[in-house]
Amino acid sequence: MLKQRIITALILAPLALAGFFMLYGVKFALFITAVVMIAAWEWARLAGCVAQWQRVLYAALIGGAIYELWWHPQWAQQVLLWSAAWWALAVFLVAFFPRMGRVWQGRPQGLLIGFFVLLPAWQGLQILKGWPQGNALILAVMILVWGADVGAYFAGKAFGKRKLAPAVSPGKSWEGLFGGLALTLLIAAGVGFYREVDSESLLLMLCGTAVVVLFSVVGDLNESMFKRHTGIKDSSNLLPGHGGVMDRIDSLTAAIPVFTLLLWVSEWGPL
Amino acid sequence: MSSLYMLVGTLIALGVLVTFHEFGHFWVARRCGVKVLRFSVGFGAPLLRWHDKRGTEFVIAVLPLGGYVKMLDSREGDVAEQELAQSFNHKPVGQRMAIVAAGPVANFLLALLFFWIVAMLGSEQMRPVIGAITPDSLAEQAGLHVGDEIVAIDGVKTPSWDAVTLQLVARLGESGALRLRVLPQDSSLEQERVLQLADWQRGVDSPSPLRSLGLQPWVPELPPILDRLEPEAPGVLAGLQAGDRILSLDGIQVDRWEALVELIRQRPGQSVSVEYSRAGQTAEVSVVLAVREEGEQRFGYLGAGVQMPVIAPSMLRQVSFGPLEAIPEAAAQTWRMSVLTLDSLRKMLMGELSAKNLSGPITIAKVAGASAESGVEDFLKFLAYLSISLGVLNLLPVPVLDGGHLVFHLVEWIRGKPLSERMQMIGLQIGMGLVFSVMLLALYNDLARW
Repeated sequence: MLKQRIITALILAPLALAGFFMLYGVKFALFITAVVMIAAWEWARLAGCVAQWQRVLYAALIGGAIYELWWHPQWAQQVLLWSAAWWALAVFLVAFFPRMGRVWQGRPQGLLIGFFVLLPAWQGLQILKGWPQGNALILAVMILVWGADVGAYFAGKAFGKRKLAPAVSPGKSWEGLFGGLALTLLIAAGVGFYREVDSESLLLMLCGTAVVVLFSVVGDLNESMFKRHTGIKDSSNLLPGHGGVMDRIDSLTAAIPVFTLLLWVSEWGPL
Repeated sequence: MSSLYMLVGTLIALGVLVTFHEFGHFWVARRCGVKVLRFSVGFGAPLLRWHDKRGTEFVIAVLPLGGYVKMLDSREGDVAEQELAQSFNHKPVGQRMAIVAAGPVANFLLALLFFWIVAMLGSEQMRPVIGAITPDSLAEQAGLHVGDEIVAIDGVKTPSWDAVTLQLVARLGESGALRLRVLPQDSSLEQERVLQLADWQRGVDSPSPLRSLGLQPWVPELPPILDRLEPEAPGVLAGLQAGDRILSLDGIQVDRWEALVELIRQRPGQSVSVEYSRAGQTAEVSVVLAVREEGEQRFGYLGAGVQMPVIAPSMLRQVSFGPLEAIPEAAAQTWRMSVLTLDSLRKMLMGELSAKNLSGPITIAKVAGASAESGVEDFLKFLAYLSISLGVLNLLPVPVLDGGHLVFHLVEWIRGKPLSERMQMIGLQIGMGLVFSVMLLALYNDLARW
């Protein structure tokens, strides 16, 4: 299993890195569209669509929506604001699970939620890429999410005691969450010192980092919630040893739009 | 400082309202002999918890936007034989309805209490005297004059501009006659004026009732003396200071603040020359005005407020009530606000009022902060409004909400047996979808307004 994990990672990492950081313009847009459409195909499964044609149709629908977004860049701001509203609401869905789960987790609801999960992630990446130092921004949000994962893993392993969301994801603990926050805040502080930003910007950076990391956890829990509801462990087996694409990008689906909005608010780039 | 007010204001507001709402359910449930398992203020992981003698767990939880009372119910889990009689679903339908209704009722009672206190505190308010009338407006056509005091609208007394606005808001989006009783200047005889409304401000995003009728409140003479300059706004950047008296703008003499505002608004983005006097010295600077967008239109913006003059006592009126008089006043206020809330909801549903007027938790937090900062009285009023909204919203016949449960129980009472599980489930799904959509829209509006 571990060997398979490593082999997949060795093949996949360069591919993903090349896709995210060496492509520009239409090619970049097509690359992230492909990733999001695969995730959509998996999402349809999580939402309860078993038949292959339904899943393909759903991916095509998401693809069509992305096509529209591509031709209407003026919608970007609305898309991202809707996404922030959705993720704020998702906090409650996760907190409530599974008490009210039965009531809202029908197939149509799940498929609708997929639009809020997937499209803003595409839109956010597209926006980030076009801003000054686009690649660095994309790398930054990825480091935040992975840093939070790594920090959570070790802190959870060492101190994990109180469960974060036992009904959704039994492996997560509050200690892990704090560990993830601690590591990412440390990274952000490091970057801040290295770039010699003034103390007010540094404080804002740290606050922003905490917000992005907290939302990335919500993104993760949101996917877990759907998995738990449908009763499947991995979103697919496209990445042997790692599960599906959705499993890799679940945190990013929440982190990217929030990160983009925060940068927009701090006037890094236009929307 | 203001963010601290916002935080504390919101926590107090939500804490008090939610606790009171849930306490309503809790209290009646206990009266009816239902065993209450948990009384939670907030959702999610518990921060604080304790038990009482009758086995109820009291919890304060992390997410402060709401709360719940969990009662013993054999549909939700196994109940021991001897406790069956204490479970919610084994109570007669009348008792169950009382328990469900108690939450919203508690909110109305709380609003009543707050309005009662506010009415007794009393307040000094400016008489609603008309200060200016736009030519060719509805107000002019109806024969209103500058100096008229608005005494009543649609038969309801309006001792202040707040009351006037409240009465006008109730008519937004409507057609028909708007009846004003006015007391003309230097007269003691009240007269009636009728304004004909036609789809008034229908579908407008942020309606301004007074302005659209062509009315402007009387305000004391305001000499154009600057105060409260915004940092990094055009005024400060050009070197203007608080206390500067503006003499002219682009060569046009100004002696009133309103005139200055009008000149500035007409010049978005333009460079203007401003003549002012400071400590007896006259000087001139050139200022590049900023641009403010209001809908489609663009306006000029200086970023300075006006120094407030002292208002003559004859234009003020002390409005306050004794403990007994305050009761009907508070009841009327509660009733008016309830009707207004319901009416606004209906108009939003019918598309007569833009859905952008819907506010969520962020706007509530901002208003909570602002009202807490401006004093006990404003904060109490705000709490009362919020409590009423909570009560009204919860009574809507949407499954998931208290009102939906009431409808289910009502059907049961009429049919003599409950709705089928399946029907209830479908209802809950639709209700949940509705509630989520509305919450999503409210949150979106909040963020977009930010």
